[in-house]
Amino acid sequence: MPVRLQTVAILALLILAATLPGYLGTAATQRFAIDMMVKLVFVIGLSIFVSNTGVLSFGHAAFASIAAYSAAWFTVPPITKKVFLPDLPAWIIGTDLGLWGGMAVGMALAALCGLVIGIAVVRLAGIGASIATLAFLAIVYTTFSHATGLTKGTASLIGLPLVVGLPTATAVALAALAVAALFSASSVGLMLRASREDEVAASASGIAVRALRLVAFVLSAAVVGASGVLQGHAIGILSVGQFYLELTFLTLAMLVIGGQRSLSGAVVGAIAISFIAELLRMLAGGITVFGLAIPQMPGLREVGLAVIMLGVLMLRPKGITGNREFSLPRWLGGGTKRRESR
Amino acid sequence: MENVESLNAAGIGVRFGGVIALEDVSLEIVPGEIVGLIGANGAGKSTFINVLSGFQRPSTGTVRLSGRDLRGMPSHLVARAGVVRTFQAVRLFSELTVAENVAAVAAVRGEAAASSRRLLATVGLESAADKTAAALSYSDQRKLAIARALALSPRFLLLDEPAAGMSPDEALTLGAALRDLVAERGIGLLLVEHNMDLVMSVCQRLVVLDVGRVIARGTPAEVRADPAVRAAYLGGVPHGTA
Repeated sequence: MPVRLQTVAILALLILAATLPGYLGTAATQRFAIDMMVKLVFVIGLSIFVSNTGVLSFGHAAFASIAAYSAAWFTVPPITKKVFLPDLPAWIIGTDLGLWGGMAVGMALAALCGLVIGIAVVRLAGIGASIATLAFLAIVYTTFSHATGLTKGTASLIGLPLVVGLPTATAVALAALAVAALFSASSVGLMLRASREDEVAASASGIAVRALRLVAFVLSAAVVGASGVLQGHAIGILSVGQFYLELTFLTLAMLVIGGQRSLSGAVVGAIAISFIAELLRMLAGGITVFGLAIPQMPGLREVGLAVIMLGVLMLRPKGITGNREFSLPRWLGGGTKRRESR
Repeated sequence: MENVESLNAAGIGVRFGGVIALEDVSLEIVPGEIVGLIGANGAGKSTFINVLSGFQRPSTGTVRLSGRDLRGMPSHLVARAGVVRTFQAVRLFSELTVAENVAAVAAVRGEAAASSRRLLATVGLESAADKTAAALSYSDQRKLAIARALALSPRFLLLDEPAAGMSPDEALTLGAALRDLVAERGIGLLLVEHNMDLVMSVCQRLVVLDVGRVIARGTPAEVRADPAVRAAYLGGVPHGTA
């Protein structure tokens, strides 16, 4: 289903509403809201590829990582860079581009890496392509872990300017939403969704499936890259472990639970799982309800998310949104336009 | 050498390991004619369509579109060059709407959605435009497959059993629609079909395949009278039900 303007408006309002706790509460709730926006940018970026092509990617955290570190090379103060990142070329050490310059560099590099790895990925079909993206993630993780002079390796890189607040993160999330909606509504998006349904028929219809998938992969890598840059400059610290399996599976769970074939699904999934994960995290820390002390339950968040994922896959395999896009007539009309297939 | 518009397959042979799927099959289609390709199941009809549409590289022989060699060209470029096929298994974009099924293909040519609506009207599906393709009846799905193929404005259309699953009445209507189509658009049509009534009534020429070889060619009347065809294919099968 194409993304209409009203869908984008509804999703934008939903995103703004979700950030409200960040303005009302404490520093902790603000951090939560920022992190939610960071994840949202990631999941929207991931959905540009996954929703339109139907091919799952396990490798997008690598693009967040590449963009986060390459942005940091241009935003960390030169003095700090000299000490922590001695292997950087002198001209990079001497250059400070600020957040937006750094983000542009990060997104561009993520897109470039997306182009190179994408050429191989789009030649593979189905699960083979997904496995290749997972291998790419492992390669980037291992490389960054050992490139100590460029990334601080397994130690944390500190000194990133803390320039991303909630308004900035929200603005980037809305921009990502706009990019994803425009892409989905474009003829390229439509041709890709056709190939998602039947690759052979798409090819017989003159659709250049591989080339278009590559376009989606590169754009998707760039947007996910923006998420990595936001994350680094929201918490001021980067470590390679931030962009590995935990992030991969959390963001995939968000997309699958929301509905992996629609933009609405990506947005709803990211917001819903962010709130649920935060709630579970608080519960796991142990709380007292009406004088009854609930003990600490480490790992509750992970177990809870796994249970939710299982439940959704069994009861509602098309995700919360049923892979449809939001639209007002559907809600006002009591679901008369509800379409079920197969 | 050829400036005349034609789709020409010469000496096509396809081998899968030791199995010969096609051997020395030649066929030429020119604009404005309907050529029927018939034969029993496994005779190589679909393999031949695969060869013409770029899905199967022939072991021997050449495929030329108005003189231009199509061999080795990827299937999506063959389709854009003007040779478009449908599938025996229909293969619609199931979860997309009927209108989107056609619009996605029209987009290949950079055409707007409005032209897709007109195409749907020509096959009588305009009222179903907003349904998902999977929700269509079987015969409507086959109509949509043809509309989708036409969205590329093909010069040559290869239909793989378009009447399968249709009632005799629907097949009759389809036959009339195909004749109109060829007359209006001046395209060349290759019809692979088991419905003999349809084949005999719309095709000007027939080619009969049996285990990968051409055993007869000619007008429907000639082919019907051919003893080799009767023995290999028509023999024993009640007329019109095969």
